[in-house]
Amino acid sequence: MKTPVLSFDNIGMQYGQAGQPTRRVLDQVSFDLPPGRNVALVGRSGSGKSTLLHLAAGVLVPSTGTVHLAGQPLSSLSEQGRTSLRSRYLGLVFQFFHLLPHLTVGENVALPGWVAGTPAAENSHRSADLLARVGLADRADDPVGKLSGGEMQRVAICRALLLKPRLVLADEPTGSLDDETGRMIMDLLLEMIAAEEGSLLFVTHSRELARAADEVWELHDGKLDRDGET
Amino acid sequence: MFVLTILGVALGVASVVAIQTLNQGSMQAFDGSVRAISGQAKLSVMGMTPAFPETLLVPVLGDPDVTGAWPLCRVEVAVQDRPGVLLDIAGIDLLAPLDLPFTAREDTATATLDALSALVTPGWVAITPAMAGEQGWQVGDLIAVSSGSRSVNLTVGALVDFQAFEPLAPRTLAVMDIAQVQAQLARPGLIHQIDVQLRESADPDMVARRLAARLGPAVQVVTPEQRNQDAQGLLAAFRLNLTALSMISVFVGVFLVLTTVQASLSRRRGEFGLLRCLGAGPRQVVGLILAETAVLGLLGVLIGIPLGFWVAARNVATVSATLTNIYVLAGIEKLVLTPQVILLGVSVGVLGAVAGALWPALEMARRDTVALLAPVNLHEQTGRAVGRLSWAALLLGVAATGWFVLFGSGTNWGGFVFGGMMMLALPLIVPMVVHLVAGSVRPRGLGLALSLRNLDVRLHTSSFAVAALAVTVSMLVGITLLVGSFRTTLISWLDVTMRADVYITTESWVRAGNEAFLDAGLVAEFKQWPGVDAVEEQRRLQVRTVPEGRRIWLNAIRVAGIPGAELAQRLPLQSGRPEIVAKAMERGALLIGEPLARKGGLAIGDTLQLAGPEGPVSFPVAGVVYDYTSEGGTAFVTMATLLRHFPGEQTNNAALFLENSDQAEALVSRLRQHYAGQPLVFRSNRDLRREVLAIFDQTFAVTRTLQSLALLIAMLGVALNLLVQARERSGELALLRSLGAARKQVFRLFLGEGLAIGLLGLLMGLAGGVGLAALLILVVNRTWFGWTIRPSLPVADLAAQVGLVLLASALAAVYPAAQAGLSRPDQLTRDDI
Repeated sequence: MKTPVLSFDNIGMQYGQAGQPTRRVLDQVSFDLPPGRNVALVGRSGSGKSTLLHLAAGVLVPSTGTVHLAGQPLSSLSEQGRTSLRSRYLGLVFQFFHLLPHLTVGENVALPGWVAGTPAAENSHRSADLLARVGLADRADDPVGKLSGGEMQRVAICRALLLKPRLVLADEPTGSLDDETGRMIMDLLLEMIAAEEGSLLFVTHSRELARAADEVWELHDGKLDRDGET
Repeated sequence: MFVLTILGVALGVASVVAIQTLNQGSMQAFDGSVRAISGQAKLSVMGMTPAFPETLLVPVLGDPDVTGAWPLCRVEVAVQDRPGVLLDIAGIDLLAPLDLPFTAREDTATATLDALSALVTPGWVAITPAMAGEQGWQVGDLIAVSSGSRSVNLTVGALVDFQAFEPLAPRTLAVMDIAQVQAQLARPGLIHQIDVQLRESADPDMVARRLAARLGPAVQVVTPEQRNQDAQGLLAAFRLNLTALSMISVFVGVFLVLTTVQASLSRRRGEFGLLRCLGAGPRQVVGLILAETAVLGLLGVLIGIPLGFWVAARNVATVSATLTNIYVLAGIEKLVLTPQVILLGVSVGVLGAVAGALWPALEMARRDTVALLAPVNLHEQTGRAVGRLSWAALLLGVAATGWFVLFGSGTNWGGFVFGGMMMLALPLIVPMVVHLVAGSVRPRGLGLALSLRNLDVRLHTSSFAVAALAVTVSMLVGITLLVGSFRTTLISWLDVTMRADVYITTESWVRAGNEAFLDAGLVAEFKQWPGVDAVEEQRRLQVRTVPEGRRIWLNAIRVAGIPGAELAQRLPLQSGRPEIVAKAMERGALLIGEPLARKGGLAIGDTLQLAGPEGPVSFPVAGVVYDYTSEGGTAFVTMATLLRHFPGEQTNNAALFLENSDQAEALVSRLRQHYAGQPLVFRSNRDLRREVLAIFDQTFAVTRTLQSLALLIAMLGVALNLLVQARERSGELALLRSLGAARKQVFRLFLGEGLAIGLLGLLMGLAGGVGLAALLILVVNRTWFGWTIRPSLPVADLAAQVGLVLLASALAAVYPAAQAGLSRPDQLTRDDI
């Protein structure tokens, strides 16, 4: 059996300072996400979706339980170790794109490569390849401020895929786009991840978009319901 | 951030306070001395040569408005076996109606002086309690002193507490009977001053004119105020240069305030939007911002004033040494923080801070309420003002150059004004340069290129840091080029002029040049020493030009038997041919130094009139020489010419030419051994050159302090700028961390930005510095000091400064970089970026 790309083992997460009432956000959450699977995470606002993504990215450390990323015990690593794993195995797509306005389209895509220290030529080549695949080959030298919302998210997807991550985490990737553009972006994201043989865990409020995933997981009051396979 | 701003203001204020305290201190010692000795006089008769016959006292006393007059013989003596300790002795008529604060013993109250006892006690001297305490002397003690090569034993007969009624009076002042001073330490029959008391109703100016007419050209009659003005004139260039340099720190500090206020306002725009919604007008917004900044300025002042005084105290020794060595004035004994300096510090701090806040405040007031309440767009200002500022810089540069060429170059102040305008233009061009350089780089990783690009993105803050640094580096490089070129020029000049192997002077000569003579017998002895080929005798006399009254040094040299050692051959001629000059000098002409030629508008063929003991003496100018001994002016004649017009003058110093120059050090050792116990100072050519260069370096010590303060302020600017950026760019940093950037990568990125600011500041500062150096060397220096300085490139010094600036920039970035490195990926919010 292949090693799961992401594993949650009895993850509990609660917020609050010592001596004060705490708020439990995740409770006994366990799952394995096998390679090549795409999962949509749904749930009401405040159900813990973003917390789960943050835990998966190693941005947060769980109160209880263990998170494994590509077989590595993410949650027991130091902050530096988690950052390193994130750089190697994860791609991130945000609702609000979070592109750096002072960099060109191509430079934004190449940014994870700069962080990881991959050779500049390799970055450029890969960046150009990805932009060509999302139809933005001729926009590489443009400032991102000239792009539409859909184009910005395509650039963000390219950025997430630059280092061929094992897993892409996407937080409401279509949340800032109109329905039609959102569907196109979702299709593109799934298509590209499939082409890269990666996995996707994305948060969405849209049941329609969620159905595009292999599985739909739902969070209810901190508990994960994994029955929604599509 | 506000702490950094307050520190920036404090350092700017400290620069100004330090320099003004030192500037005032430089005059206070002289002023204190004048008031202590001549405070009861309405007028003083001063010699033009400067000693004059005491017989002139009679006509002074004969004036109907004069109620009293007493002669003074002033001489500075060296205390033997106490290197560097001198007494400034005022020989007075102890029976004159002078109310000096004598005490018989240290522990008694003011007592009546037993004048008769003082008159009959050989070497009776009254010293200040401060000097007695410092040197451990008591009434009754013997003090061995020397004037020239003469040694005399003085007896402490009383204490005279000048500081009791004149706190700034030098502690080195001492009082003796005038007859004893003349006989033992100076010259019989000659005095240096007559202090005059007038009847209440008398008009001092009228009496001065009448006395001047009656006493003839050997003296001038002046008020104490005129004496102070005269001394101030001597120091004008020195003081002005230091003041101008200190203002650079204030200028740099203004950028610091600008950065802070702008960053603060950027964060608080919502607050001001709300105020505008509630009915506050633009003026009220501006008023509020300026009032807040004025408070910051005041806080900076509170730190800056004591800090400035401390800096002054740390530099008092070197400035004092410059005053005594270069200007032959009293050194600074006591620093006083005067109300004027405090007021100046407060004004500079508060007005500088308000000036720094004015532009951001007006920008904020100009925005409409909707724009203020809209989310912050960090890039809204980027690039918008670049073009306008560049045009302003260009216009200012052209206007300044035009003004200087047409009008300014003919004035004393022209160079300073032109330099100031160019220093104003430099920061205006900075945004364009940063934009062109930083905007053109293509980052290919998280390296320096990305750091540079980040500066371009935030021109509205990074430009201030670069501008502040550029101005500072301009000053650093400009001064370094000036000093380095000056030093090289001086060394070349010493190579040509210092031909003798051994130089002999006396312990008191450095301060009492006019009255410190070498005994003629000693000079004859030196000639007999084995290995001595020839002896050169030198006389240096302070005289005044007629009719301008400019104080100059008249140097006469007698040298025999050494080919090429004559003045015309030895001194590097700026104009004139050696053989013609030599012949003219034999006929009584003189050579003038370049500063005198420039300041007096003199050239070959002109006539220079000097005040002599019998009246003005006219000397034809035979040539102009490069001369770096005095900014006040110097002239050179043969000893025969000097003695013809100034009879009775004796030798001050001697120099020995050896048959074998390699023996100079050995001979110096033997001379020191042979003349041990005598107040003679022997130096080899090498030692004297070393001392000259040490004095030169000491002169610029305070300049280095000012440079350091300005650099410190600029570094605070770099730190402040990066702290602002760390805060403004929290979203970007959180994104980088989300993408896997380690803390050390973010740290390095910011460190790179500090270095990038340093590099751009250096780039612009080097260009500005070269321009500033050209202005200082070719215009300001020639106008104010009159020296020709040959430009040279002190490569090692410049390289050290480049390294220092880059290192300091990187160091300034360490704390902001560490703060930036603390950013977390979960800090990324929907409003970021």
